[in-house]
Amino acid sequence: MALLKAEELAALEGGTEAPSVAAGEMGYLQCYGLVDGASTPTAEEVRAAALALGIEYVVVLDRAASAHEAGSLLSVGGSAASRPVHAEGLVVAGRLYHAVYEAETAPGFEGYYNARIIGLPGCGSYGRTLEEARRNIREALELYVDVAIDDDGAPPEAGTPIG
Amino acid sequence: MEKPPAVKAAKIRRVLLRNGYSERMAKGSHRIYHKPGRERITLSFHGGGAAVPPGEVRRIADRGGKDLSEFR
Repeated sequence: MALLKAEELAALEGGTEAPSVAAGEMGYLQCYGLVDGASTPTAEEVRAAALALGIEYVVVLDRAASAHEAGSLLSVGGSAASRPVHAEGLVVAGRLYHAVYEAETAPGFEGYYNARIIGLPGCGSYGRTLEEARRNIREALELYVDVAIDDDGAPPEAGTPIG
Repeated sequence: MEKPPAVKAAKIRRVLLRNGYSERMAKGSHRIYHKPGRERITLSFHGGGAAVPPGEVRRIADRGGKDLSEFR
């Protein structure tokens, strides 16, 4: 799946329940892990932080969730600003999940990206390149969702129902 | 920066199984592990047995708690 464009994302989210950020602010979205988690950032603050880092995709779903994730992601190995972070939306089983890709910084793993799904810390993967990480996290997420449906009868709630 | 010890997916798998996790479904190069009362954990077997990057090892070790403390 290609990276969602901002407009496509806004359209998807327009169909979900009450985003807490006004529609006008949703053009360029929120991002995870880019701002200090101590206070809830505004959509504009998050967007500015994302653009400063060259982030190509950010999504606004919920302000509280964004502040929480910002704190948790920053705690992973220090400064998020010092390495590339990318994110995209993945639709699986009728829900929109958010994948975040972080460049691996350890020696011997140049070019590698670790991938995770916001709100599903048990689900993750990696790739020797960003493209490989994107393919792999989709496969891992599909597997995770399959098992959740099998066990719980429904996909994990970390994804937002769409359509 | 010091080079981290190489951790292979097969090693993580062995430790999970030894600590009461069972292997659930597989899809492509991914498998999923579960233990009653614990969170599910995905594990990737791509790269032909190559080392798992440290950031991904940390994610898995964090999810496994004391069962995976040797990977911290």
